[in-house]
This record gives sequence, structure tokens and C-alpha cells, in this order.
Amino acid sequence: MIFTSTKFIIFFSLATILYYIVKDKYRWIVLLIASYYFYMLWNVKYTLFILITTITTYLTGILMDRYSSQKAKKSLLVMNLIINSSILFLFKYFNFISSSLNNVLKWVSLSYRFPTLDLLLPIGISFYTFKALGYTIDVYRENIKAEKHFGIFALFLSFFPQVLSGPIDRSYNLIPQFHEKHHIDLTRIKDGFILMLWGFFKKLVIADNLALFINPVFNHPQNYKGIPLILASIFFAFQIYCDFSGYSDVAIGCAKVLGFNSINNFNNPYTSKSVPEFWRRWHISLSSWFRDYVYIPLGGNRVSTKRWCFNQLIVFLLSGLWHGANWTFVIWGILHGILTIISKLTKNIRNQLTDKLGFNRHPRFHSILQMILTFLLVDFAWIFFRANSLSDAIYIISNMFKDISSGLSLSYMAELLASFGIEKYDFIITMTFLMLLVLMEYIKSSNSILEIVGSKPIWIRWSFYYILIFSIILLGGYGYGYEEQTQFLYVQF
Amino acid sequence: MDMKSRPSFYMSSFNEYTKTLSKFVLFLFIFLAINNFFEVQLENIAGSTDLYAQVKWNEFYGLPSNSVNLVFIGSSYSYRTFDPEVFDKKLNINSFNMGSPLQKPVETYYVLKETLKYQKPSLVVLDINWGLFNDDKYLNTKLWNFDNMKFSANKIGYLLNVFDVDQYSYALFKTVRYHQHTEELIKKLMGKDVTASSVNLDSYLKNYKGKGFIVDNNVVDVNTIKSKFDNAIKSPKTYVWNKKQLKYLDKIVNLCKKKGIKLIFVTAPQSPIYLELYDAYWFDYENINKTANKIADMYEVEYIDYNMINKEKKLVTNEDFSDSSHLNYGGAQKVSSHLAQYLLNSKGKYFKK
Repeated sequence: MIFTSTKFIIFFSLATILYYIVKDKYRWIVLLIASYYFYMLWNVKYTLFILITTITTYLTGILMDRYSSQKAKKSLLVMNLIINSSILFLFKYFNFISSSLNNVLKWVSLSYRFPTLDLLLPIGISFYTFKALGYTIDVYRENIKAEKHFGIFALFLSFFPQVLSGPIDRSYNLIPQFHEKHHIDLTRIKDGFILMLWGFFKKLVIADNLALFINPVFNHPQNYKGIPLILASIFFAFQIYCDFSGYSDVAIGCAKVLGFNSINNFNNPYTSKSVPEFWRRWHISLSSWFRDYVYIPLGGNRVSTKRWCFNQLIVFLLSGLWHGANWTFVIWGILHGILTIISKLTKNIRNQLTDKLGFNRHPRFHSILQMILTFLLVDFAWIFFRANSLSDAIYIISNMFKDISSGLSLSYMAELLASFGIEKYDFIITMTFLMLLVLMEYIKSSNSILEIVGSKPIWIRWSFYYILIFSIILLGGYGYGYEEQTQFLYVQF
Repeated sequence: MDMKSRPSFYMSSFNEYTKTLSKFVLFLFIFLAINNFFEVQLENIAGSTDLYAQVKWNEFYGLPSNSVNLVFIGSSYSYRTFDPEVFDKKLNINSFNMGSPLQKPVETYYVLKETLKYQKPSLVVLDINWGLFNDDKYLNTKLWNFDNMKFSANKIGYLLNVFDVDQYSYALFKTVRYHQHTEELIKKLMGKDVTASSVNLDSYLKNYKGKGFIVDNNVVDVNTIKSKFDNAIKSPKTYVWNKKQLKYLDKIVNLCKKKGIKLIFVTAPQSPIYLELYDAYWFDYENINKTANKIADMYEVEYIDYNMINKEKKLVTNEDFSDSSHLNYGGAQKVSSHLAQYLLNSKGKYFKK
């Protein structure tokens, strides 16, 4: 059941009504049943794995609370990390490592082959496992008390708005909210629905329409040269942003309707002026997870430059692998690590250069230049993220600047769009919406659509809502021809 | 009132509640108005594809109450096989065909319920072609009945049970249904000339003979039927009857029993060449016939399988078909006459002589 389906809208409406009808003390039961029902619709058998993670992590927390010895706590922590990481490894990385080793064995002409498993990746496993790991570490660090209520803890890991693709909320943010009473707050409910609407708009109107251009190019890059490769690469940066931030908005909006405040996941990432800043604005719940539970324990900023560079590479390599067991994600992660390192190491030189060129006298021009440069670097890395294989990524990079002149004519573009089955006006409208989105992200000071729209007069607010609703209905990427785009991109991770 | 004693549906004030509710109603009203504007525009562009259904339902709703004695119902096999005029003349009754394309038992149940709200027939002839006992998700044909049925609890039942959950928005909002035509709508709103994909009403409706019956004068090319099996392998399987459709067949039988209406199950004929090949390559027809007979026996309903009758009596030939499975006008007249004569000979079992 995906967020953009009628089934989900009916399910969510019924869950919300039931949630507010029952007494406060039973509401967690409604949410827990709804969450497990939501998860089981995907695969009943694989509920076992979220249950194993829930039980082992819950018991680890309880036992950690009981023992005062640091050694015992550490043993429990290690044990829990091993159990949860093993499940994740088995499903997500076993086949990748097996087949990579088999390639090496083949290369050195050895006949032995490691086995591969015929397993389906449990949906949301990377997200709920990281939630569980974060909780265990927080209890170990005594940042929070272990949750005694098993039902509430199970709900924390399986909470339906977050279970498929996050945000990877923190235990100290979400668990206390499950214990609080949530009265009907019409303003909050309305805000939740607006956020959901905004998320649907970004996903269905922008991301899914861009996908019509991107998918054929990235699925068969060898058929193209020059402009189509450049455009598909640029469009993908926006597709993944609108798709994933759209998903996050729907998830956060759902939680808001039910009375919960989730961690924010995006903050105008493409207005970043450097790659490190991009990572403070992109998939915030994951990047802050890596910061708190990997980067800081490795020494954070308080280490030698050499060690810091090494730590950065480790963190970004893990981040790449988290996204998927494929060399394309490994390269994507390492590329971001390298860009972050270069960004820090060249900071002084860049500052001197800025002074010399006189950019500091034109701060707006300078910041736009920095944003464009950062976008280009991030977009370059996205090629590896989206490409189906490393060879495809290399092909795209080495051919994207070939035959550019032939692709610049309007007739060529019209032919190209027609070959993808994209209507001219639909494309123009998608581009217009995309440009408006970019412009809005650039000029807005706050990071929430609610704050931007909320302060406007009613006729502007309502016009905005109607534009969103009818854009989704009339221009949304659903129905015939959009079967490939229905799922959110991050659900596969 | 302190927080603890507040009920869970507490809101800061009644006024706030009323104000929000009024705003919501106004918002919804404007939404529906805009939606209606787009629906009309899009429907004009898309062109109606359900003209038969429109005409048939209008004709049906225009009939005097309780004036119909015999109702045919089911898929296209029903409205392409049983010509009410033949029955009316021979039996001196008033009959009507409520068949519609790809009508499965679940749809039949709600169409029959709607029919029985206005009419009290003595007999219902239900086409039970096994091929309709499936769980296919096709949307359009479901819409044709839905769009033309009057609003009632029965229509809501049709919506909830005939459509899949993900088809609800397509059924309720024509803006969703026709959103693929947005490009043309934009052009139209920009003042450009957009040719609506309209159907020539006269030529389209000339095949509608009235009382729900559709005429087709084509004669099928036997080679076209044979070509369907060009790459097929001779391994006939046992047809699996869908449980949901069987459940609704049960409901149809009970509905008729409850209303005191007699019921006959009929399977319209397939062209002899198609049936022969179908039986040899795809599904074992003897088994299909046995299952249908078993179902009929279970309900103590009479079952007439025109495929079996045709094997024995050669009632219709390949030339009586407009395609592999649907009778042309000549074929329909033959089968209608045969059934009408059978009902006439039934010594007042179904109609008083």
C-alpha cells in the first residue's frame, strides 16, 4: 500500500478516525495494529524480522537499564548491534558480497563459488534497523531511559508513517510523544493535511513526470549522447528530491494529523553553498544519524586532518552502502566523502580566491555561484546513484558532452519528448512547476511550506491549495503509462 | 476545565469548531464546483464511450413500473443473443435485456437489484458464461453501468463491491478518469482548436435495436478464429471459477428466491469452430459444462447450455457469428426463437399461457 494510493487514503482516514474516537490510554493499540496491518499488507512473513528486531532491541534496553556495570552494558550493546546488523546484512549485503567475491574468484580462475540467497529485501529494513540501533546506543549512552512499555516500543519501530522510508526518527523525540495525550487540534490536523498535499504534489506532479524522461535514458543510456544525457542527469537531481522529500512530507504530515512531530528530513538542499552544507540539508534524519552514531564516536572534528579524512570516507562509504548493495552506491558515497574532504582542505584557498576575484563585494552573485557549483558536484555524484551499473555511469559521463550542438534544436527536443511519450504542454508545465519550486526554495527563509503559506491571506492560501489539488488530479503521474513511477524511490532502500 | 477532565475530542471552543466546519464546507463546495467545470470540459474532449449504456438505462428508467415480465441479464453474450422482440411476440409478454459488456456476477447482482426496484418480472434469464467468473480488473465496462444508474444505496453498493479500492477515485471523479486528456484541455483553455474524439451518435446507435438488444450483422472469418490458436499448445486445462463471482451468483439466486422470481441459467453459444479449438487447446469444455450443471443443480435452477445443444442439434453455424463468440443478428434470432419456443412449451412453468 503506497502513500499515493486510494487504499492508503482510506486506510489513513479510518486509522485517524479510530485513533481519535478511542480513549487516550488505548490509542497506542490502534496505532500499533494499524502499523502492523500496514506493514503486513506488503508481506506477512517478513513481519517476523521487524518483530525480531523489536523484541531483541526492547530486551537489550531493559537489561541495560537493569545492569549498572559498564562492561555488561557494552556486551549487551555489542550483542544487539550484531543481531540487528546481521539481519540487515543477510538480506541486503550477503548476495552483493558473495557475487563480488565470485567475480574475484572468476578473475583469478578459481572454480569455487560462494552461494547466493534467493531473498526478497524486507521493505523498510534499513530504516527500522537504524531506528533500533540508534535507540540501543542512546540507552547505552544514558541519553534516554529504556522504554518499559513493549507496545509503545513496538510502535516506535513500526509507526506506519515512518516504517517504509523514514524519517529515521530518534527515540528521544518520538517515544515520549506516544505517552502524551493528543487532543484534537484542528490547526495541527489542517497543517498535517497541507503537508501531505504538498508531498503528493512534489511526488506525483514533478517527480513522476520527470521520471518519464529520466527512466528511458538511464535504463538504456547507450541509445543517447549529449543533451538527453545532460538533461536526464539534471532532472534526476530534482526527481529524487521531489520524490523523497515528497514522501517525507506525506510521512511527517500523517504523523502531524495524528498529533506527532517528526524529525525534519530536508531543508532546501539545493540552496547549499558547499557539499558539507548539502549534507546538513539532505536526508537530515540519516545524515544526523551517521553524525551522532558513527562520525562522533570515530573522533568527530577533534582528530588529526589525516584521521578526519579517513573518518569522512568511512562515514560516506557506509552512507553509500546503506542506500544499496551495489558498486554504484559505493562510488556515490566515496565521491561525496572526497568532495567533503576537498571542501574542507581547500577552504582557505577558496577564501583567498574569493577575495582576489572580488566576489565578496557581490555576495548574492557569489552565493548563487556557490549554489550552482555545489549543485553540479552533487548532480555529478547522482549519476552514479541512479545508473543501473558502473559501466552505464561511465558511459553517461563520457558521452554527455558529445554531439551537443545537434541536440540544441527545438525540433530535436520535440522528437525526443515524443519518443518518451511525453506531451509538450505537460512537459512545459512540469518545467514551470520545477522552476517555481527552485525559485521558492531559493527565496524562502523558512524551511516549511506551512510557514510560507500559513501567513498569507485566505484567498491566496485557498488558491494555492486548489492549484495543488487540481495539479495532482489533472497532471499527476498516475494511471496508464505511469506504472513504473508509482513507487517512491527510497522504498527500495 | 483542566486538561485531565477534558474529553479526548476536546476543542478550544465550540465557535472554533463551527468556524472550521463552515470553512471546510465552503472549501469543499468550491472544490466540487471547479471539479465539475473540469469534468464537463474533459468529458467533452474524451468523448463518451458508453452510449449504449446511456440509451439502455434511459429506456429502462422510462418504462412504466412493473411492466416487464422477463429480464435477460449478464455479459455481452446476453445482449447479443437474446432479442426481447422475439420473446415479446412469441410469448405475448414484455421483456428487457439488462446485459452489459463484461458483466460479471458481482455487477449482475447490483444491476439486477436496480432492475427489481422498478420491475417485477416473473423470470430472469441469467447468462452464466464461465469466462466471466474471473477477477480481472478492467475498469471501463464497470463504469458504464455505474455512470447511468440512479443514485441510491444500491449504487453505493455497486461502487464498493464492483470496483477495486484503487478504482474508486476513477468512478467518482471524471477529472481523475479523463486526466490523460489534460494536454488537450490546456490547449482548449488557451483558445486552440481541439477536436473532441466524439462518436457519430447516429451510426453508433443504429445497432441499438431497443430494450437493451444490440444488433451486429457481420459474419466472422473462420481463418481469423483459427489464427488465434496459431502458436497454442494442445493442453486443455481445467477452468477455475472465481470464488468472489460464485459468491455473487449465490446472492443473485437468493435475491430471486426472496422476490419470488424464477431463474434460468443460460450459456450462450460460441461459434462451433472456436469451441472446438478452445476445447482442444485451452480449457476442457466438458468440465466447464459439468461444473455449470453442478452449480445449477445445487440451486435447483434450470440450466440451458447452448454449446451442448448446438453440438447435438446444429442450431447455429459459424456463419451465425460476428466474431468467435458473439452471435450476429441472424444467429441471435435463431437462438432467441429456440429459447422462446422452449419457454412457450414449458406449460406455464414460467409464464401463464
